[in-house]
Amino acid sequence: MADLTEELEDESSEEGESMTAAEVLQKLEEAWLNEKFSPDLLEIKNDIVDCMLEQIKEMEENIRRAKKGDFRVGIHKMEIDRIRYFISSYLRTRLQKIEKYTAHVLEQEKARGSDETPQMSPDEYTFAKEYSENMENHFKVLALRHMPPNLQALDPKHTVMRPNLDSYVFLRVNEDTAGVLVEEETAEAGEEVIDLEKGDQLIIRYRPVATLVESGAVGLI
Amino acid sequence: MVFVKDLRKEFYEKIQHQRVLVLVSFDVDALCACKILQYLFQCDHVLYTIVPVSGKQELENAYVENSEGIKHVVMIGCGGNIDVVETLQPENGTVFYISDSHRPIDVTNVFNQVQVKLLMNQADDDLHDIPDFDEVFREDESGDEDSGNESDTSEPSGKRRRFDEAALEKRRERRLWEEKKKQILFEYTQFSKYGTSVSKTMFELAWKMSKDTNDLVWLACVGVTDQYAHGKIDREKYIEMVSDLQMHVSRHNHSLLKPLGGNYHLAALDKDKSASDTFLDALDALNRSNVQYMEKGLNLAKKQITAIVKQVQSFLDMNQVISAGPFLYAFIQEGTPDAKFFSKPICLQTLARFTLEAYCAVSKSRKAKTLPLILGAPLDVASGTMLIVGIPPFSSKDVGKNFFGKAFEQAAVGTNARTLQDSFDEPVMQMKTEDKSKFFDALISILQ
Amino acid sequence: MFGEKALELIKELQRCLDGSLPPFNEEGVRQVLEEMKALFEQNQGDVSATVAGETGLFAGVQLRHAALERNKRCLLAYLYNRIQQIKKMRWEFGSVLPQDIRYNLSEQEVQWFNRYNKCLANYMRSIGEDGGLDLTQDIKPPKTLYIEVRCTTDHGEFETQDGNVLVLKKNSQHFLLRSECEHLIRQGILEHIVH
Repeated sequence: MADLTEELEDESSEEGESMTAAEVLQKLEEAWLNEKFSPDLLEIKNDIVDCMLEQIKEMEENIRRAKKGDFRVGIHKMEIDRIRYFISSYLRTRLQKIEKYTAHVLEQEKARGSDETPQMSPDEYTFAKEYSENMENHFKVLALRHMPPNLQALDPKHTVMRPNLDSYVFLRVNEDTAGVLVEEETAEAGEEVIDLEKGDQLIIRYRPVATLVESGAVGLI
Repeated sequence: MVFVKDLRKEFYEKIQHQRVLVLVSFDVDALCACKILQYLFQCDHVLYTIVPVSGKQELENAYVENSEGIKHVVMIGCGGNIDVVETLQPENGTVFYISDSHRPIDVTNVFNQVQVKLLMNQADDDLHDIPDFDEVFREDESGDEDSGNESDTSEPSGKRRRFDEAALEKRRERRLWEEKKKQILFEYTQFSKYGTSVSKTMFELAWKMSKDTNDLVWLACVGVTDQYAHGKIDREKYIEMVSDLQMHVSRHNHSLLKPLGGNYHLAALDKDKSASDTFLDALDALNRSNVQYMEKGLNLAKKQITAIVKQVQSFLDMNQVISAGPFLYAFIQEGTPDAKFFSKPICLQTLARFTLEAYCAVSKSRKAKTLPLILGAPLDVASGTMLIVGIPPFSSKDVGKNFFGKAFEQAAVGTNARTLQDSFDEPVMQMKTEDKSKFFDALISILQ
Repeated sequence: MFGEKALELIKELQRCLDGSLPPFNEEGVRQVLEEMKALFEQNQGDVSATVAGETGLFAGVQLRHAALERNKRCLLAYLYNRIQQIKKMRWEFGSVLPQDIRYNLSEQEVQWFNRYNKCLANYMRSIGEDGGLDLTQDIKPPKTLYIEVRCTTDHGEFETQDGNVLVLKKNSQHFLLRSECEHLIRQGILEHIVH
């Protein structure tokens, strides 16, 4: 896969370092798995998505130029299908979470400090807002506005769905991480702290490791 | 002649990177061949469209509907005995690859150098009687003198009608040639018969490409056996082909295949017969792994054989097999239970063979064995049509050699009977039931 | 009993868990809303009476309020779950719903669908630098590049990625790029033949 191993300048990465296409693909796969298995909506990896879409375009161009019957064409097409599946599935998973937890993700976005990076891309945010309006309008027109005045509002306590951060996840440790607080101290037991060693695989509650997933220190599997 | 010598180079490699349309007829041999080809296409990512066709009309429709952008058409079990270019009116540059066991091959297909390629072994016996090119085609045919002269008659004659010995001689010679051509073509097309199994041909292609597998040998075996079971080929030809395949069987495995073959074969065979629109089911049924379909097929096969036995019994008990002089005939009455089975050509043909065999066995007349049989069955009561098939005499040495195709055609032309020879098998015809008697009168006088 | 009509609506949802969508139960929804109106008016009457000095009405008001809350919840659940079903169909059938399904939608649901269509399309168009990405494709991880499919209905013309035009007629069988016919398989027009 010559054009996949080509050095690609990944302009948008913070340090300005360059990544090979294969490394970007690797990142995409990680992001996809994390998104698939985390209960919460994670930070969007827009750069990776854009970069891989660009890569697909290049590969398609190469295929167009290739001779008919070149056996590599089949392999390239297959590879394109695979990448496109990762991207689609990744974005689809996010969209499903946004649709399910619309009010929740919008709340979080509102509460976000100016120095924090947003979870959603601007376009996802637009989608979330429009989706939420559409939904509210639907309830209002068909039901709420025909109800007695004291019942016409949507009570967030009952209607906002939130991800269950205490659900359990499988993870693999990518970087040694010491002193992870797994259980807060309670009346019955003391706090529980563990050290994560690279290569470990474990089942654990999502909440204590959420930040480690975002940072890449652990990956969900 | 356009017989393809190297299936791989002259056929497969030509279409390998193209989009291909595959038109395939409704018989088991063609079905098996089609499955073999599908397997090869899938290995090499050849993009194809397969359309099953039950007769000539469907073939035309299927081509019209699916030919857009198609430059390569493979015809399996059909196309050989019709003038493909004339019938389908393809664009220039479209090439037809024909794998068909129907004989005789239409001479226009044989001599079309550009658009028709025949996937057949020229050395086969069944292809020896093809007329020479000069006997059936003339270079000057397009610049036809006769028509030219006719349009001239309106002009003032005078000197144009001068005695021209050379021209006269030329016309005389031409007339002779035409007569001879007619005679040659009549002899060539008089009998319809069958050549090498198409699934065997496709298997050979797979073998040459080193892509032959156990499953493909099995398919070829089914195809060849189908030809034999339906009396299309004689025992010698069957044994010749089977022993060829036997070599491959033993190369692939030792004893597994043979005992299974016969039983499964029935399944595949029947699916095709009892409901023509289940062609695609039949494709599935041919998967060796598809036991469920097999069983369904077997049950249908049993029902069908029971129906055939009952019908034969009833023909004999009621003395319904009647001699018309040059041939025997029998008709299935409207409203007979199981009549729907016999409205399918393949099933009616099978019934015909059993009936003739049974009749010969019980008949006191020695002549019975030398007579062919025509069998008729109601096709569509609402539109008042029937289906008739003709089969050669029981004692005939040339199995599968059948003159009824041509005879039906002539009888129909002579009487203006409303008939349709749509099937790729020539001795199968649809007819308006009310034209039956005049048609049969004509047939008797032709064959006397 | 209070809330019976609302329960009917919920049961109706239960019955169509197989993915079908029955006609919008306008009458059921109206009846629930009417019951709510009646409950509310009774409560108002009782509250006024209490204010005027009558006693012993409090428990009734409480009960009716609980019934009101329950009705509201059921009604919203009914609407919400139908929307989920309709949304699923957007992903399966694309932006144009089959006539028989569309027929079962209330006018307001059709409007919801159109708006959803629009914001989903806008979003998908925004993906990447140019052209966007159709997220309703590539639903399953790719196994093979090409697949064999059989056409189950007379569908008509179909243009492939390489610009060829195929006619999808009932019982024709094709070997195609998996990615380009995936949506036709989901719509039931093509059937994937697995060997």
